[in-house]
Amino acid sequence: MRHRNLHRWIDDNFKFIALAPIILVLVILVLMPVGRLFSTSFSEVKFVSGGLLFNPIGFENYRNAFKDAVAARALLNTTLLAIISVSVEVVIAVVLALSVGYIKRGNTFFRTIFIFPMLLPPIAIGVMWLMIYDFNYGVLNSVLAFLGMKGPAWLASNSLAFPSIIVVDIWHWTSFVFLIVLAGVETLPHELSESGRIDGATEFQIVRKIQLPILRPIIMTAIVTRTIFAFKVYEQIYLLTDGGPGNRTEVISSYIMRVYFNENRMGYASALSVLTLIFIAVLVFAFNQLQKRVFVEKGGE
Amino acid sequence: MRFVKKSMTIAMLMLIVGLMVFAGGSTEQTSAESGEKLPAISILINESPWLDAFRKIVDVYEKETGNQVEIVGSPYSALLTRITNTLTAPESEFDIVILDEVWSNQFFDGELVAALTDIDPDFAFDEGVLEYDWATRWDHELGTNAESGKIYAVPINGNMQIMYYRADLLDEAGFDPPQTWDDVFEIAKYFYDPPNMYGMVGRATGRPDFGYQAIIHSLGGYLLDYDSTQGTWDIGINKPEAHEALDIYLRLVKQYSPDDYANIGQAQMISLMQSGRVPMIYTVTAAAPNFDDPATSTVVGKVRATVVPGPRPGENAPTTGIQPFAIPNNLPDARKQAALAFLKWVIQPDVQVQFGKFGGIVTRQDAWETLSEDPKFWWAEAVAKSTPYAHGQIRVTVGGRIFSALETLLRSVVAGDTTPDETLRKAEVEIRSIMESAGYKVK
Repeated sequence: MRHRNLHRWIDDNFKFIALAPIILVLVILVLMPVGRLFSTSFSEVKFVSGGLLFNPIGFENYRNAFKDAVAARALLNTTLLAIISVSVEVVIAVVLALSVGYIKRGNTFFRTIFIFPMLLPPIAIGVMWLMIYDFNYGVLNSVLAFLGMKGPAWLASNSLAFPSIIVVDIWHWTSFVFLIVLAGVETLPHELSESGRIDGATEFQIVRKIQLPILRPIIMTAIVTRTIFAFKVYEQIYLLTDGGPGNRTEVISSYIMRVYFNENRMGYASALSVLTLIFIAVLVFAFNQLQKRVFVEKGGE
Repeated sequence: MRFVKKSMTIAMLMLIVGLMVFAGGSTEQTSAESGEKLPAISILINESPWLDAFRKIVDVYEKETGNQVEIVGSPYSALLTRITNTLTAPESEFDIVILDEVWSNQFFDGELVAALTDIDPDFAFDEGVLEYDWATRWDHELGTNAESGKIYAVPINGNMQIMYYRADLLDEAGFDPPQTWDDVFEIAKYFYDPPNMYGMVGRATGRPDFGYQAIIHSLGGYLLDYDSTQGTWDIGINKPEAHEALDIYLRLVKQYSPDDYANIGQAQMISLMQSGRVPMIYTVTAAAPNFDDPATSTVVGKVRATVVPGPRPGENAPTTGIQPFAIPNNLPDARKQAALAFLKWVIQPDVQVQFGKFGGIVTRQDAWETLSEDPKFWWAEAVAKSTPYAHGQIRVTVGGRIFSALETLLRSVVAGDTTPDETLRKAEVEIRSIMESAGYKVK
């Protein structure tokens, strides 16, 4: 009798039992840390004997964040970096992926070459570009000197520092977008392109009218993923410019790090993190909505 | 199917029970450890060029006393996080932690580290120990480092600024080592021949205020000053001395420097000196061995040091950047005693001399004087002469916030985004706001 009841209970609740592991993982790895981040963002944290003291201060950290000119500049820089880098990366990656897709022999070689930057740790990339950009000893200025020109201070110039950082970011992350788009290119149905050719379409028309529309969902995924990554840029900034000159290359991650570790303002850093999280979520949501609208408008084509 | 469901249910229950046991188990382990009296101690220290010297002196300690010491190295960037974690844990993982002058006060103020006189009421420093403007003590009533405060730490890395110069070049050109800021500009102008040689480089990023402080204090100015009669703090960042200091600082950083001056931090300054492209820099004592390393330096044997200049000879104010050792408060008494035994040993005069010979940055005046007799330690005399003028950094719990604000402002003025007057006016407003929000009374 007791066994029958147990079996019945298991039968009735099995869906919950089966979901338990993932719920457990979700709670421990996602909800608890994020919940802690939110609760900390409403506190002022102090060191006291025996631990940390979380003093609730309501929305004070958020009010301060909206008045913080450096945070605003950092968020603007990050957004600009994300928009410019991701746009350029997508264009280059799509061109490269389609080109590699056309290569019949040796495309494994090109695939390996093109994903190489993604395999390097960001710190190594930072050091490498530091040696390229260095004003006195850098490769770039040595080449310019050889050509009889005086090289600029790439990382210290008010006008060049931010573009120089963007170049590094593009060099680093194009391979990531390339890899995603290439996966799509390799699954393109050849018969559609072939029928286009039979109908007299040029290769450019085939790419524009047949391949790119099919690749659009994959490109979209790459853009969204890359945009999220772009908001996390930190190591390269830390190594190359440390946010300078002035705060021209300060990004939100480097500023949050500074607030958290150098200034020891855990509550304020948490509030900035929450605001960044919301900002990215809104950006991604808006982008998805825009895409859907474009998709519906062009649905007839 | 029923068997599968039953097995999964049992597996889930086991997983949940396992997680609970795991979570509880670690607490049990800690409490079991706390009951033991361990002679061995563990020290958390940053990985820096003098770490090897510290390892050597610890070997000596282990041989002399038979006590065991474990050294745990950490990159400097991760140090504060590890210290915060260990000091706020139920029981500290480490018996001794290394702090930094800039952020140690918050741990003193919160009593997260133990007052050494609470561990041993007879503990006191002898007069040979350098306390660097009382960086080792904290007066809870005043909310600052002061002689009247409790001793919380033992200085172990006595970093402070000294002026490095190319003795060969200055001799050849007939210059004496620079004693004043005017001397610095005269020498810088003489040698300025870009791109082969620059006249002077300054710290424009990565705590630029560290360079600025040596100037403002040498002019008799201050960032913050405590008025004990009123019990209030005075902000000096917008006073005439501060304006004059900023003018000198900007000239040092920009006038005779490479075009990338805005991106020059301590590492770049040392690198330019090592490559023979500047005749002088002022930076920390710990940089000295870099110039004698044939693997990285082209100026081996050519660099000498003197006191950081001032407006007039004898009006100097090199900034300290020391690191002290402290004992976590969240330790059982036996572990605190074992940690203090090591600290008492390492600060002894003969041990300090030995530590200095291994390459450590010692924290006793007598040790610096002894080391200065050995030409191998050519920088020791400059340090020994600098200590009477040594000037501590900001000594309040919110020092980190103030330095961060100053960094932003100084970088902006170096980049030409703000004027010097606007920079110092903003700095005054920001420092006032930070101090008042932390509960300090400001004039």
